[in-house]
Amino acid sequence: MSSWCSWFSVNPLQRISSLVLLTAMLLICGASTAADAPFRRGDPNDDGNVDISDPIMILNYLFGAGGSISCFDSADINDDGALDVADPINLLTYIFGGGTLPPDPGPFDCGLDPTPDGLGCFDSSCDGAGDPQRTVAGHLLNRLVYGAGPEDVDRVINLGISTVVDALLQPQTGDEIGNTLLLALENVFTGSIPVNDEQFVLRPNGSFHYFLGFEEPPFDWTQPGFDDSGWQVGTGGFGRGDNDDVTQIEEFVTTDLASIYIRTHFVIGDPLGLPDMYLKMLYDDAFVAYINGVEVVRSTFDNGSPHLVGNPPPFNQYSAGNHEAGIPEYYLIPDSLLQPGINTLAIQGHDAPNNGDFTLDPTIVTQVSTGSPDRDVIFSDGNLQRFMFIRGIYSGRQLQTVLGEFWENHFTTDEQKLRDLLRNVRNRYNRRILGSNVASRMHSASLEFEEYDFFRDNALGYFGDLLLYSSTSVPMLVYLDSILNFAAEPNENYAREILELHTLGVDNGYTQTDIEEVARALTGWTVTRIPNGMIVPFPDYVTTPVTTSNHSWVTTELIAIGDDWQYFKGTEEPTPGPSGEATTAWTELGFDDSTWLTGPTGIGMGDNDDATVLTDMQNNYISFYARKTFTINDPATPDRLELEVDYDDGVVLYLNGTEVARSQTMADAPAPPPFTASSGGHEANGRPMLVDLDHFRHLMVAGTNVLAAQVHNVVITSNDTSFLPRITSNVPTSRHIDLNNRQGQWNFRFNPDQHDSGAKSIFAGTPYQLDIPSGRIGADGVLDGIELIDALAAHPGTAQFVCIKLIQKFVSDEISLATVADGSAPLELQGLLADMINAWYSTPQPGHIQTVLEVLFDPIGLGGPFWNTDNMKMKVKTPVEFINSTLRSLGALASSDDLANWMKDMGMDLFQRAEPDGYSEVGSDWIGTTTLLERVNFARRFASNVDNDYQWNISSFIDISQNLGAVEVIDIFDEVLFQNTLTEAEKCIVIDYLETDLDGLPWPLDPTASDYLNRIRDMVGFMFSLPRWQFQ
Amino acid sequence: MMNRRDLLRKGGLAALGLILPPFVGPQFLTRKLLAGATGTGTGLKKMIFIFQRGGNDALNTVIPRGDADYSQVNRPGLFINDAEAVDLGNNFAQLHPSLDPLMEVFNHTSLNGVPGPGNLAVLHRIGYPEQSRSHFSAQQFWENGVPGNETLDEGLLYRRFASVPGFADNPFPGAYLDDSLPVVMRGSIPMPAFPATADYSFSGSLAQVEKFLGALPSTPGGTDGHGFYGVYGGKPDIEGGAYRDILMPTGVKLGESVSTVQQALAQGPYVPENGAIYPNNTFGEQLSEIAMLLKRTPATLLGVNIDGWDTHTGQGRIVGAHPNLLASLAQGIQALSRDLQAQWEDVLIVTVSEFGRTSIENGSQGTDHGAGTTMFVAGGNVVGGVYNCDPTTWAPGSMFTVNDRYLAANTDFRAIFSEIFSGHFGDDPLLMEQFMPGFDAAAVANPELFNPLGFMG
Repeated sequence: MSSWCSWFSVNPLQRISSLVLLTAMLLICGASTAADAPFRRGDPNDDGNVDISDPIMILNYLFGAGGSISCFDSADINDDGALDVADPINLLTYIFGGGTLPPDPGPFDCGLDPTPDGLGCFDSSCDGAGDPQRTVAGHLLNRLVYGAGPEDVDRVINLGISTVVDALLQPQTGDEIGNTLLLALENVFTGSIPVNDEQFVLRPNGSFHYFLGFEEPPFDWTQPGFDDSGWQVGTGGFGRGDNDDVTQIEEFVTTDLASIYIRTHFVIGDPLGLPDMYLKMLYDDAFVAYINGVEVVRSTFDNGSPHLVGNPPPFNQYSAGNHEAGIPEYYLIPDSLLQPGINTLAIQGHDAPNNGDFTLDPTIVTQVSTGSPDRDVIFSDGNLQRFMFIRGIYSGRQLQTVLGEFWENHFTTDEQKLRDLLRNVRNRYNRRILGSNVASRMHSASLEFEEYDFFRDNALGYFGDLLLYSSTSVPMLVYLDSILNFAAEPNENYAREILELHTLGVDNGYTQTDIEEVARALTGWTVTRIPNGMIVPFPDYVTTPVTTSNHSWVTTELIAIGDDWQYFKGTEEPTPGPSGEATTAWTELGFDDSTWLTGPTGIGMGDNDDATVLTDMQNNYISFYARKTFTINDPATPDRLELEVDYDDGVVLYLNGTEVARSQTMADAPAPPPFTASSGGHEANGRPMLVDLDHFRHLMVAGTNVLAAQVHNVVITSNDTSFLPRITSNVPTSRHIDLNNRQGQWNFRFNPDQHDSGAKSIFAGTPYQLDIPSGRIGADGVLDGIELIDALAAHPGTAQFVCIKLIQKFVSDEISLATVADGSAPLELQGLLADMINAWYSTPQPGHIQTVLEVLFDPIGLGGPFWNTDNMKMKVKTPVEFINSTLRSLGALASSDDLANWMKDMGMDLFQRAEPDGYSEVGSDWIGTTTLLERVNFARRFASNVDNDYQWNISSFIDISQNLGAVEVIDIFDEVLFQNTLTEAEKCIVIDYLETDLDGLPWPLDPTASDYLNRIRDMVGFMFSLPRWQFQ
Repeated sequence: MMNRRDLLRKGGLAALGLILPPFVGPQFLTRKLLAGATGTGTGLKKMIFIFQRGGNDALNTVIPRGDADYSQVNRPGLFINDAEAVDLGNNFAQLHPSLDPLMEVFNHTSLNGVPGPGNLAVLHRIGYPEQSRSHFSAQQFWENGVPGNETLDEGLLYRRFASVPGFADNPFPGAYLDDSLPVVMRGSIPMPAFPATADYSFSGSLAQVEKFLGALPSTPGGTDGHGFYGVYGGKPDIEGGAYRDILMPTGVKLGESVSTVQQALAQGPYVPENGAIYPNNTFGEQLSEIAMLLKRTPATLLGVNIDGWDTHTGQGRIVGAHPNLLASLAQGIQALSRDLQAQWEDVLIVTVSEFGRTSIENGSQGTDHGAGTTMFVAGGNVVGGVYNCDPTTWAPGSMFTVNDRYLAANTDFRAIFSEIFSGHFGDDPLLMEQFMPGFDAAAVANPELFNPLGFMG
């Protein structure tokens, strides 16, 4: 059995015995395939031309002068079923102009022998040539589309090549109405959040009293009047794990603790006059929330059944299910539960058993709809990749989708770097706002998605727009360190790559000086959060950029530095208790401080920063006490109250008798600290401690309030101390956005303060010299970068480099900047490049991609290198192309789960590439043992139909009632996968594979056996493993 | 219109590095190599190649303490002071403290029971004329061994190892521990690449895999093979053009190398010897696999990347990204030196990076792309010591020789590899032009960059 496929290579002297072998092969390899390869009649030497060398070859063969003929049909010039001397004579006559045209398929076309005869054709370059029309249609589908689906080749032939190319070059905009499968799958991976005007009532990181659920709390713990002074005090949120909690509760892991109880208060005006109010929850894993003693909501599974049971659930109950914090959930608070003035929020949070993470992080907000449409979000990087696959497999706008991937890769960014940055963004009070991986990756993935969507939507538009968009997209500004490119300290990372990778190509017309000048021109380009009301479309947000930071308040001072305070030198306790111990009586509103000293702040000694100098403090006393009254008209007003204290070395602060903050240096001192307590070391440094007083509005009264402080030195011998306090009332402007707030969006910002406004000269001394004048003030500084981008988009180096990449992508990777530079690139590709560059400059603005691609695809003439058969099936599929084309070929239904993992195993991880150059379009970069192994493993798994994530329906191809044998089955999939281009040698090996069992013994395919379809599936997996499936 | 053959001749094959100057025939090579291979050591000479991708900050790796320009002023956030650094004893050079594990190799006097100098060569200021500051070009040049040639996709190490008799028939001549084969080991005869041995297998039962793989044809390119081997070792079809000529042998090499690796794994869990502890990360796991493969397979060349050296921001001084990378590198080399004691005389560990970084720190507590860089070479045959970082050869101002920004190279990397090939593998120096086309001309043009450093015994 080992030799039958090599029949045609035997010596002609053995041809008789070989014909006996042929009979055996017909039984095994099939009656109509192996011996009947297509051929050109009259071309036995198979050089593609019928000329004098062919009859000479036949004569030599017939007269035993040497040589072998592998395609006897091609030598049977008169098609009489026999090789004899009449054949070379007829051929000679034909060649010299006297004879008749050899019968079908004739000397010019490849085709099968129409006459049944005993001669065979075993090896011919026509073998596997297929039908030229199908080959061309398949080529179009391989390059402009992610591969042919089952009916696609016929569809292209019926519509006509140029019609299809035109349609692909002019995709419609908007949703793909009618593509229900695509839209349904897209919806699985995306969500939408309402664009509301959201304001905090109870701000994040509030001050709570809490109680660990080692036992049942007192029955009335949810009631407004409950005395929680015996509970511990902590800052929200509470929990452990995931790095998203402020107050760490390790007992959830170290003990069998199931629950925590937390309480706080918030102050509002008349609830009927306020917008709808929501409890905004980040939680892991379950909770029940109470407002003023009445349950308002408890967490549930998606089906509505609660995580916790009982009224209230007992302290030792675990959550019935897991829930991850990260995306906040909103619960409407009925007005009927609220009251003007102080309200009480109480929550019991419960952990799921045996898991290491817990979070309870409540806030309360009001929301007003802005009328804007909901904003699309994508929840994770994994969903982002799945989304790409769904579009690749199912979108009707295939060329646009192929190009969307191309541009995304050209302007590649790394989602992980953006996520890491977002996870570490801190608010004004130095708290991380997106502490959890879940939360930060939703934002980073959504920003990447927005960028990818722009590239896809505008894939056929102007290159300059893509470049400007990329340079001002949040992912790119972060990825290549534009946000760290400051006037005094330029960062060249982006400057280098925009020249080398995005526009001109490596060393293609720029110098190190140009890189430095480009970096200077782009100083001040950064990111910010903006409120929904400031969102404007591209490119308006670049040309009229946001210049200010997200923090914008109008400030009024309630207590100013320099105000007179009452103070008391800490030579003794100001209000000792019965045993002389420290008390907080001196911090109460009603305390009489008239006997205390009076002096303006700052109070202290040393460092020359004090208005009231305590000249006797060193070596005499280590602390002093101070009080200051101030007026609040209404604790429920919506301004932002903030306490700022710069201090040396430690301070504890009280509002109307209750401690509201202490410096980290006093963390270990008791409450209240005795007058002798020493502080840790800290210098007043102009960066004061900030305390969000909105958390303490329930302590405030209309009218007079008192702020009290005790200030401690590090040692009694210290020669400096300081106390510089301030309380401000702040009204946010419309520009202001609270980073913790869901509203708003990350956006490009031009920061004039960080822009180098000196003159720059880029490409100096070349015809493309760009001189940027000095002295552009304020927002005008952004013009430096815009002019630079315009100049780059117009630079001939850019046209050359981008067109080369497009040729590499669509036609052939046998061209590169280097081979163009030294002239070694194929001439036809150099010609195409020149035509494309002309087209690049043929539009009013340069670089209209659709116009450039019309030249490349030449849909009118259908000539040119793209349609040259030499360039077909010559490109190695990238992993994403391999996966998409494999799934499309059999009309797969794919959820796209797991495809990203396969892509990664094949060496490609879209949106996650650390290097800025993007994935290669050059074939040799995609040939390797691992990528081939993973391709084979993936395709065989898919073909075997064992994975629910990607399935195909074999009955669309094989009608089991037709009892198809091995040859017919192979022919069906030869057409589906390869447009009938398998060679006889390949078919032999496929049949051998299909009809051999695990012991290596013959195993005929039996259409009546139960394993019939599974064997065919296994064979299809083998066909996907053929070398030719790696090419497009 | 140009036909396909013209296309290949003018473009494709050149891009694949298949049209080099006429290669010296195998017979000639056999003779030369056998003649040269009679040097030290008892067995087959081997190499472990480690690529620090991204451009390593050479000045915070091997610190030129004796140069006053290495200073707090020039590196406000990155400067390592004298007391923190590990001294190398030549009154000039020091190592970053994270590299301390290397001192076991640098100082060791008894790994082989023989007193003597250590087995670590610390090489500074390595590069080539007119260094590229593009990652992609610079890596290409280091890997293809022909600076200035962007398109040659055939590797310097490939050419050297492919010249060894039997290379083409070796089912597992070596491998690169990564998803894909980098240029340095690419050539017309494919070499395997995989990120981890465990996943390097075909799906299915043993019998199913055996059937799937099938058998090679009786003659190369024949049609009587079976299964996967039958098609990849069989008669090529027209598709894929030049790439088909790489893909098909890659398929055959895939089957062979998977079989070799799985047989090696079947010998049981790998336990490093002599107290070797590999870094607890992907790089460390890959080094451990390299040691396993060196012990259990015929491989003589194993490569691996350690990524993340492109420290434009927040590079880290004593702690942080760069110090962590240095620590992994040093712990890895230390672990290899212990684990491979039995073949230490035959093994050579070589580290490279595509360029150094700016001598002055940037505004983001990082450094930008530069020029001259450091290499480490370790092995039983190495004459330990510090090279190119000493008071005699390092002139004041060296850190700003190029563009007033960068450290200039003092030795061409091709000269280093020439010493390695000759000194470790015993290759005839005349072969260097073959291994690194343009070598002879470069040595003539810049003789000062080609002075031998003498780090190979």
